[in-house]
Amino acid sequence: MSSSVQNLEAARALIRRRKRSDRIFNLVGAGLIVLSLLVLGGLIAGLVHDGAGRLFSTHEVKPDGQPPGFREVVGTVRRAPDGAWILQQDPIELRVLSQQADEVAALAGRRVAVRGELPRAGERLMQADAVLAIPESLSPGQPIPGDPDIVGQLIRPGHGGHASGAAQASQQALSGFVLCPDPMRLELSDGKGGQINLSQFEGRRVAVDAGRRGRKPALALITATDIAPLRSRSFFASMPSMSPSRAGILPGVVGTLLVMLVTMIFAIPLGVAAGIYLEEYAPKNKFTALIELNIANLAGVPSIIWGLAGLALFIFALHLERSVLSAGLTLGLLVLPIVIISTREAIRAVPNTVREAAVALGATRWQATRYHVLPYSLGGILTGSIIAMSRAIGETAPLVVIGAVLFISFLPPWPVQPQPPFVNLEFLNSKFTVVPMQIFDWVSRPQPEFHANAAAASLVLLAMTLGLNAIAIALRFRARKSIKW
Amino acid sequence: MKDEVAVAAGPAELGEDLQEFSFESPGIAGAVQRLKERAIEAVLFVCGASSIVVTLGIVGMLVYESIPFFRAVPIRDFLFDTQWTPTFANPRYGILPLLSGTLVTTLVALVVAVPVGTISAVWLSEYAAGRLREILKPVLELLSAVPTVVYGYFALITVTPILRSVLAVFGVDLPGFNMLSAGVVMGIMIIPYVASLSEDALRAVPMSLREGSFAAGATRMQTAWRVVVPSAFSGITAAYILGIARAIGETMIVAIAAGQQPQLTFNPTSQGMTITAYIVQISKGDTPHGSIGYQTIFAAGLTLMLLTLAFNVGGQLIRKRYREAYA
Repeated sequence: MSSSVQNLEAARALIRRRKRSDRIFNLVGAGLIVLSLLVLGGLIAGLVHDGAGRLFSTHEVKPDGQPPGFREVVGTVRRAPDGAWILQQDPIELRVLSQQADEVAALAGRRVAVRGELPRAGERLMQADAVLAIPESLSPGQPIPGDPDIVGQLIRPGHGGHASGAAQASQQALSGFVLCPDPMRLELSDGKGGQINLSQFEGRRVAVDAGRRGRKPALALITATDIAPLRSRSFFASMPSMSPSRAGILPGVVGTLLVMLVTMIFAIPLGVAAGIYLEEYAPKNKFTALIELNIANLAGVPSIIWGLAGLALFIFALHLERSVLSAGLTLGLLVLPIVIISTREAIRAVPNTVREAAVALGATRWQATRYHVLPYSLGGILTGSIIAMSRAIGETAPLVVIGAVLFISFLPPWPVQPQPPFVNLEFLNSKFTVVPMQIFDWVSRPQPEFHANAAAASLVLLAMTLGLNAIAIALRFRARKSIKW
Repeated sequence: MKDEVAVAAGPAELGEDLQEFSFESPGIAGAVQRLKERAIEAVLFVCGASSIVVTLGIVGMLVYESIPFFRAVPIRDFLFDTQWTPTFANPRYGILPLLSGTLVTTLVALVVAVPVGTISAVWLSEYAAGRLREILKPVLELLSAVPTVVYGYFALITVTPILRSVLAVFGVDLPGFNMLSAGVVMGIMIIPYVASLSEDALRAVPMSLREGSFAAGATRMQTAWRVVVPSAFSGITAAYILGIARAIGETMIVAIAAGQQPQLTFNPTSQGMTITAYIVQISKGDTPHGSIGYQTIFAAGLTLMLLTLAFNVGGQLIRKRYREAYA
């Protein structure tokens, strides 16, 4: 009697244990999926953290698109109360050696003379070799002793209000000084100065060429030989550059669009036609089986192999150069199996009754396909094509092999033009780069500033691929809702 | 298909009987129509057969371009030499260091992707409610939609520092470029691949097997692991094998994060170079076209192609077999 009670207890304990492990496994499974999604979230969050600032930051260029040169001084043109024109330079972030920090801190709020290497145009960071107080007794206009490179008001950010947002954001514990340079009187040199009316520049940011006297003009006065208004240019509108803060992804985006155009025109019609043949026409024989096995395997060929094949075929054998055309065709071959497989799945989902009904009414096989099967499978074909394009947009390896250019200073010609014949095919032969290539280039460089560019470009690329995927998922969802067989 | 042909032929035969009733003779129109049909079928056939041409083209080109290499380098050296230094003054052409790099990164990727992918698949198929699964599956698949170059950035900039500080606790010094973080990120990339294919296999297991198990008093977990997973074993194996093929051919993650030094090592915390990363390195550099250094990329590519082909064909065959098992 007692042993059966014991058995019952043991059995209950066993059941409890089993149920508990079942619950634990449920949590583990759900947890792992959540973890995978968190990784995706972490990846995106990391990119936003590293790259979002760069994505929306701008830099300044002159009207000819060039950045301000080494000899030029950048600032805002203003009018002094006495009617003279002055140039107000941007605040500069001063870095001082840590052993000098206390000494320099004592000067906060005063006018100082600074020696050191002046920042390059467009940059705000300066390593100060020496920071010297200027005697209060010195009257304005008198030469400043000590041969300084720049003169201005020294501020500790947080204590004074003049520091710009950018300077404050990038300040660090030891470099927490900002120099507001003294405004300089702006005169135009005798040569042509008289004709230029400075009032057109009032309140605008300009690059002033200080002539042979260079970037360290007699501190209180700039005699300009040339003056150019500046406009800001975004990451999206910029060309690659050796300077990370000026580099942009314009040629990458244009190149991606053009290569995708070629890929789309090549792969989608061919892939859809092949899919239709295999589903609607192909007889059940060895050859068809071979094609099917072949397509399944083509989908698994590593993308870099497609690059090698494209290199050998389009560039070595057909002499198409390392161009938009070769790249588009290579990526077209790469996504062809995806288009074929998804077309077949979409067509297979149409019930046979639809075909039989059409044929019973006297439709030929093509008519049944064209007017009855294809309209129903169009949603699925479209979804598959979009997925294929999103795959092609992110491909890097084959294009490295094909030879996308890393540093490109021009844009391929645009395929559409306003004059007849409205289509310009020259872009096919153009050299190019694409967004993934730019990311690869930037991430391969050692400087962290370039990594920020890589993150920003990755965000752009992710927006494209995930956007296309989201469209595809939405389409699939809608198609499933609207058609119920 | 055969039945349809018969049906399609029906109206054409009827056509002769109906001729006297129609207002115009269908003779010419019918001939044109037939011609059009034939033309369309021919065009579609060419498109369908193009994949064969493409495959032959790829294999042919790889073989053709690597012939000069294998003329210059004995195949025994290629397979068994332990040094890969084609661009050095004293070149050695042993593929083993590249193979070891590929092997190590692939194994690390599998260590991540196989448990996570399998458990996720079991959970999705056996535990998740229908609606939740419909939402989670495409979201999970987004993991494989992320471009690989972005994963490369992730591996180098985010994962490597994390792993480095974790491993520092155990006294392991992880270099800035290493196969470990490249492999881990590669594993993350192929999770959805393994999970999706495994889940297909699990769902193909007939409900009656589960019901039998539940009737015998098994919990969901016991049913999943002792009945459903063994029944879908071949399908899950196929998923692993196809995942391996993906990992072997993955390029950008290893090219960015694993380093540039081919060395024969099986230590994942060291630098290493895979076959794919080598092809990228040479393509990016300025090795002159026509030199033997350049031809090595085709020899390496051919090796890679044969490797992945073996895994892909194996995976497809196993998949086919399990499909028929319960049909």
